Amino acid sequence: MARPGPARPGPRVTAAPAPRDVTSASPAPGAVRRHEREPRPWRVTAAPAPRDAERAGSCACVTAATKPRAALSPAAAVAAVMCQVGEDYVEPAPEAPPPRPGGRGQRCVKCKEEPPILVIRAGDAFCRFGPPGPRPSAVISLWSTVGANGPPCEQPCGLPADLPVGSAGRSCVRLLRLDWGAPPGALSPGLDAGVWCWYPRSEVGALAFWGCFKALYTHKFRAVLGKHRTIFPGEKVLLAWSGGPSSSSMVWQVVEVRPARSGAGVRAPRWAAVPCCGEAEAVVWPAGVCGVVGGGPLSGSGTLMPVPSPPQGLSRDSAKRLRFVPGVVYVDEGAACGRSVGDRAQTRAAMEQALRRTGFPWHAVALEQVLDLPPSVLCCAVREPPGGQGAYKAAVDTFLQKQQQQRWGAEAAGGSPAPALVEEPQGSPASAGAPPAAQTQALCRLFDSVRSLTAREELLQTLRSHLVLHVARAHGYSKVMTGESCTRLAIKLMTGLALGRGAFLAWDTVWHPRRLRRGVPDLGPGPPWGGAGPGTPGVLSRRLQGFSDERHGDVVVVRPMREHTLKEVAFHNRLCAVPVFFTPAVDTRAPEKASIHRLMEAFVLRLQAQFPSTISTVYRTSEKLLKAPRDVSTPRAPAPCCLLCCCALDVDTAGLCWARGGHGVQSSALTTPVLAGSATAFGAQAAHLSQTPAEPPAGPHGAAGVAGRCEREAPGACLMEQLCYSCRVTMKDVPSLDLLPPYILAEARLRSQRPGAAGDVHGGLLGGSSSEADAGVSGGDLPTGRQEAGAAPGVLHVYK
Amino acid sequence: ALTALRHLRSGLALWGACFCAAFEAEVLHTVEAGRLLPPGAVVAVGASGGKDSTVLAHVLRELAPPLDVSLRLVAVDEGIGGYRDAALAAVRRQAARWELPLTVVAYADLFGGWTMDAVARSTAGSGRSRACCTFCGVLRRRALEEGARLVGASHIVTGHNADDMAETVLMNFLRGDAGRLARGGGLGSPGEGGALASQKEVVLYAHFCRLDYFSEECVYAPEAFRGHARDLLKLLEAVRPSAVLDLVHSAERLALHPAAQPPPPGACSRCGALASRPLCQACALLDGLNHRHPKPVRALPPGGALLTTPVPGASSLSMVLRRAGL
Repeated sequence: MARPGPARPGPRVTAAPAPRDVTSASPAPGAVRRHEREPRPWRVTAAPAPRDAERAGSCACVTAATKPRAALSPAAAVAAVMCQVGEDYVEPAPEAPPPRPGGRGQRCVKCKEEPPILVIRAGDAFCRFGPPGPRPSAVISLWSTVGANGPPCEQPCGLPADLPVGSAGRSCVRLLRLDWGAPPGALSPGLDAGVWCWYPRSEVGALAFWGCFKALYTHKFRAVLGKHRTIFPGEKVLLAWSGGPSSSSMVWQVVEVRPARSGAGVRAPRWAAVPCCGEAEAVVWPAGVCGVVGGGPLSGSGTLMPVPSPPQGLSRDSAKRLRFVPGVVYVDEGAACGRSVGDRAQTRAAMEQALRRTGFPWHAVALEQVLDLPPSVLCCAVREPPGGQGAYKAAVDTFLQKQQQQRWGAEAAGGSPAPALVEEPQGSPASAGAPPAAQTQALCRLFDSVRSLTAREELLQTLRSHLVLHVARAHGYSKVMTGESCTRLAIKLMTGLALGRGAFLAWDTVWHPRRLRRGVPDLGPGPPWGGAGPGTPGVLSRRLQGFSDERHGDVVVVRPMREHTLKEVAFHNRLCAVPVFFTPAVDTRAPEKASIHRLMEAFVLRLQAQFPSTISTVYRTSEKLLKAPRDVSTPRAPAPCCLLCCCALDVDTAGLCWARGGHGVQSSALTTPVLAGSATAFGAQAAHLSQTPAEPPAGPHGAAGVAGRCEREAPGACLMEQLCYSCRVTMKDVPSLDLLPPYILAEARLRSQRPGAAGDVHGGLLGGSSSEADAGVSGGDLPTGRQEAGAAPGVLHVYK
Repeated sequence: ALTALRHLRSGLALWGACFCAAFEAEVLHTVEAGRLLPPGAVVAVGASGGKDSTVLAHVLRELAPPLDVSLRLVAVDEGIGGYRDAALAAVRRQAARWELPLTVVAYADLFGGWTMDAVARSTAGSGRSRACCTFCGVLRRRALEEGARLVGASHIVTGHNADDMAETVLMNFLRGDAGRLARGGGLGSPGEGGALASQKEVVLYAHFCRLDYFSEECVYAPEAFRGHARDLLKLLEAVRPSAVLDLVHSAERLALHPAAQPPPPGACSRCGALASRPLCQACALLDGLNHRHPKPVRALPPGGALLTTPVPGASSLSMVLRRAGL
């Protein structure tokens, strides 16, 4: 970049400190380290074996480790208070003087040996160098000349030349200076100043620094996945990726814990960062392995990895790998935000490039495709959740057997072990290119017509979820992972509350209902009154079982990032150089008071700054929510679902009948929240009563005079009747319902033409599809998506 | 007639008298639909002098003949200098104007000489100044029950509007109070039907009926956590006018884990009031005060009235009618 460097490949070692003898180099006691890059004592004493917190059965260590173990220094506490969620940190706790080694017993929350450097919050402080084990022998600052025109690699790195690194192919970095550690060549033979290949990140660099923080972060992610046993091995899982911090972090986690394959010729799934121009740090391991940590101020970085064997303790055994088959979906929402065609093309190109680097099958879809969705998206193909832990174990066994067979088969064939999970890493990139202009215009018209930003956000969310659902069904994914963090969920919870989605808060925010099956122990600290309350776990599980997958039927949404706060995510992304993309959204640059979403976000974050436990409190509250609304019918006879959000209707049918029955209520009253249950039932009453003493005010709506009948009204009226309370309020801000995507209107018409038949159809579906699902599971086969994809059209036919 | 306002829920344009009639009809409908006040009941109206209780008393006085109930005003003197005196004067004026019997119960008489000022002085140094409203709410609930017993009432009626209920929901969520949330949703549960009038409507009704009420904030109110929720609610309402109703709807439909539901209430072993623990909250708080260790026990209040107990005088929540715990 702009940094002037020597034209010749030989680098200058600008600031190499004096060679430091590792056995005697320990700073004077009490010496304050001014910067983290400064030399620190090198441990040569016999270190205890690296502890492995991710050992099976140690899930409780997440909660144990997050409890305040080590008392923080005042400075650290101040830093913890000052750090607010959502900020991106250039340097962790830059102002606070680093705690002195060995002073006052402050220790990393995980390894409990090193002084903490990174403070997530009071009690969650992490050291820099991780648990005892292999240590970097040098930290080198380097900068890169990135691109195809860079000088060739001077080192025989041994890795295949066709290893893709971005679009520019292999790029090189130049070692610029040695910050601390040994001089070039002394400790790490083979590493010398010069030009090095710049490779995408691997686990080496990621684990080099901040091992404790990263280990705990990764553990949380995997613990959430493992604890709930929701995702079966070999299951196809769709990762919903928006480019933002949380979802990028989620995708990164999945990429990272995929089976790492070493050796030339095997393409490992990689998440290559955007090559950075600027300074980075390289870590030199004693064995000569390098990793790059951190990047330039604006971009991510890659990993310098000339020697492909990772140090001891970093390889992962197979038991810890994630066994599902991931795919990534990205939804381009440019039309809803009114972006220009050029901007969108640019964004799409960048996103597709990033998607390509993940090595997973990916699907980049434009929001315009909702206009082509079939009405079947809105049908809930109810599938019985596969039984309890027995089914899970059976699936695991089947999977392992299959894997073993495949491995044997591959060895017999003489080739390298074939990747069992990935069908084709670059398989079927579904890039549709730019959507037709007419569709874009139609979508723009719809979003422009929406009166409030709140409704626009809700509408966008609805359409997006339908689109993702469709993609999942079309490609046979049975789970969708969204990357909502703990912070985001707390905000979403409060927003949902303010939007009238009280009955669906659990659907919107909770991980998965099976979590509740374990009953009371999952509810955090027990109730102060001791007893388990009226609902025993057995009763509860029986009641929950039917509700578990009801919302979208065959596709279940899971939220594996729900234990991570946004601050942790930001740190993780920074430390691991996870590339994060910023794309303008609907609410970008909107003032705080523009929408309920923005307002609630600002409020929660502000309150969090004052009361640091706000977010976790709200989040814990969400865990106490049930998915079943209080007075909705039994699982065997599901209530009619909302057309848009697919939740059971929370509108009193009595109120509806009253409104529909036509007591001279004006049509305007129909579209008001009259429909709402007890809170607003008397609102209709008031409308009714008010006409007795006074003459009915003549208005634009006054002429209608008759209660809205579906046949006579515009498609809007019959659509309104099929929505839940919150969606009705939202749709009130959409003046012309005709602009909605055709699949919604068609489905609304279908449902209204068969009043009362919805329940029957659902009942029929329940039997039919559940038997199919049962066949899929009990046959010992994995519930792959093909079967569900096959089931969905069948469902459709019943419906039509 | 000139149109005076647009009805919040139905969107109809109404004029003043018509609005008042609709408002009264709503309350009547709520009371009748929920069978809250049986004929012949003696109803104690909790009167603080503020707009909600003033409007409530006025409406109930209008509705007393059709409902066939007799009304008694019960006011609580918390002993807050410079605030409660003026409010009580307003209550006395109202009682004289409506010719309703008024009973004033004072904290000082009921709770062994503790007034709110004394409590505030006692808690001020301990860094617990925010707990003032906690004490006040619990004790006032207790005092109201005592007052109802004094006048021989069978029902207690308090004035709470929808805004207050929405605030409470927000607050309980922010505090993670699942037990109260479970009960907060229960405001619409059988036996406790709530008539939801938004704050705006209450004020408008008071305006149209030319009611004389006292509108000042309690001197201790600014310290309360409720302030955050109230600010948020005002902002929400500015963004979307139906936000209050939406929140109330959410609260009614909230589905909580059975383990988070509060246990059935029992009786306090000392005073016999409703309590979910051996000792009711008021007794526990008083114990703490008397031991010079004011320590609000973070537990369920007796009967759940604290849920809807607002900061004194500073507006309040839906009209909650509940049986007196006698």
